[in-house]
Amino acid sequence: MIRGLAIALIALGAGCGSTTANGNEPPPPEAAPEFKDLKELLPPAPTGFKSASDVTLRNRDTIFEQINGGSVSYLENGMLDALFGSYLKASGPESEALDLEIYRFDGETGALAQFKSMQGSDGKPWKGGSVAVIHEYGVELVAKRMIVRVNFNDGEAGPMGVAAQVVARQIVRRVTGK
Amino acid sequence: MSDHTPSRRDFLAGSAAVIGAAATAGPALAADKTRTARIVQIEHAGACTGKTSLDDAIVERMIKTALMTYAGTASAPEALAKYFDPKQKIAIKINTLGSPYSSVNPIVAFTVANLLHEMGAPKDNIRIFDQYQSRMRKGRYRLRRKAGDIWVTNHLGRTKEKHTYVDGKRKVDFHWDRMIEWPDAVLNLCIPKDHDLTGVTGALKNMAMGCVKPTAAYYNRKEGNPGHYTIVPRFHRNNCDPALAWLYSRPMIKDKVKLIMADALRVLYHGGPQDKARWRTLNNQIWVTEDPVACDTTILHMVNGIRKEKGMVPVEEAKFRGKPISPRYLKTCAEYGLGVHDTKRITIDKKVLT
Repeated sequence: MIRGLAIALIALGAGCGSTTANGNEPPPPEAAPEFKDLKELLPPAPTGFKSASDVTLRNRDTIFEQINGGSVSYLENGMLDALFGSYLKASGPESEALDLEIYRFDGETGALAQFKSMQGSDGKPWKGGSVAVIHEYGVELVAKRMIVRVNFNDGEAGPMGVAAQVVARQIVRRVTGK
Repeated sequence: MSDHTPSRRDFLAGSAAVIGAAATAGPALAADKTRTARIVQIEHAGACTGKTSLDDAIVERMIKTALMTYAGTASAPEALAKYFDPKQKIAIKINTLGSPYSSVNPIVAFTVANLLHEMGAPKDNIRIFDQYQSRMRKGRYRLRRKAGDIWVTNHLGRTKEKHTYVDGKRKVDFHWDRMIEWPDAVLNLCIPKDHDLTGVTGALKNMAMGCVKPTAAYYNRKEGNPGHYTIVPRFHRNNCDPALAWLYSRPMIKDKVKLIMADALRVLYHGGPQDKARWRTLNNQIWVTEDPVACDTTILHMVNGIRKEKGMVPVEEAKFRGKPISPRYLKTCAEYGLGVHDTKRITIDKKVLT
């Protein structure tokens, strides 16, 4: 609650265009979102897939419905909001989809703590300054204050894995600018 | 496994059963050392035809065989008739929170529902339910509430009577959902999963944390109250112990659940409760039992067996957010008289079909 209040106050301050006593603009707060809407991070569909569908936005209030008990640690680490969606194959069964999850935290520290709680020390430096775990069902990474997960449940591991990394790479580029 | 003996806090939590909920008995807080349990496990290597696909005909045969073996009958409807009356309203409580594939498969739920109908229960008196529409849809269920048909539905709001769970100085007001109030009898159809709060989840959590609703006051307090529409996180303290045992031991659950089945065709052995293909494995089994504690205890051993094969530590030795993931709720549930936790008193009848 205190964290939420602090964020609200910071946002309120920023919204009023406040300045410091010496007239300089204050530095942007850590909580300031790089993207107003997480949908801005959605990359176009990789080759052989349809545009993202079933796109659902969740916030601190509604995340329970999406990931149930799993949400406890996300909230403790300062998750602000999240996006879920799927890239279905242009042709093929629904199970061969790329499932995208993006979680935005109030800072890099929280995102990294959450990532480590799930992945331990498996994360390795990846493109664009991110830390990633690439496994047989996709890629999971932390980039700045975002955790990004692009996974699949079925399909040919090679091409599905490549497609998952293409989506993840585009998101990293948008998040880090690298 | 961590040791857990009834503490004053447990006792107080149990006492609240009498104070908070009308006409409920307090917990036994002493496991019956002579009680035994039986679980039938039916396995068929061809049930899972791929990572996400099933052979429906084989799964149906497994379910029928599991029921007949457990009840010792010549047919599956006869087996169900040993636990359910055709005149009863019967609900099947599924778990789709780990959708899409660490979730009860629709073919399993519908096969059981159809067998209940074959037993003689009218379709209007059979309902399949879970908490959230969105998770049910992701789990490949199409919601329907049509007269003359088996309903597939989420919770239908809260019941009128307020109940209170007290754990020491902590008090949680809640209501039951209307879908658990509706039936005379319940078939608890669970899914075995690793769980970051309780170590594992199966029969006990499916019911205890799957049928509660917030009070109107809690629901309406949206400011600074993430997830205001669910009261479940308020029961999460101390790895859900003893909240889980207390909730399951309420007559609304304990007296209504007549039979337990586990869709163990796939198992999530790490990273639960959210579905993660990376840590999900094919298991090709269907289970039947009447004992929720024996069911979850057996799930714990199965999950730990898979983890050992994968070179991972057992869930009791794993940590999440720096804290141990303790399945201590199992022992507490046994102490509440809900079933058998001692593996020496659990008989596994395993049959492999070809």
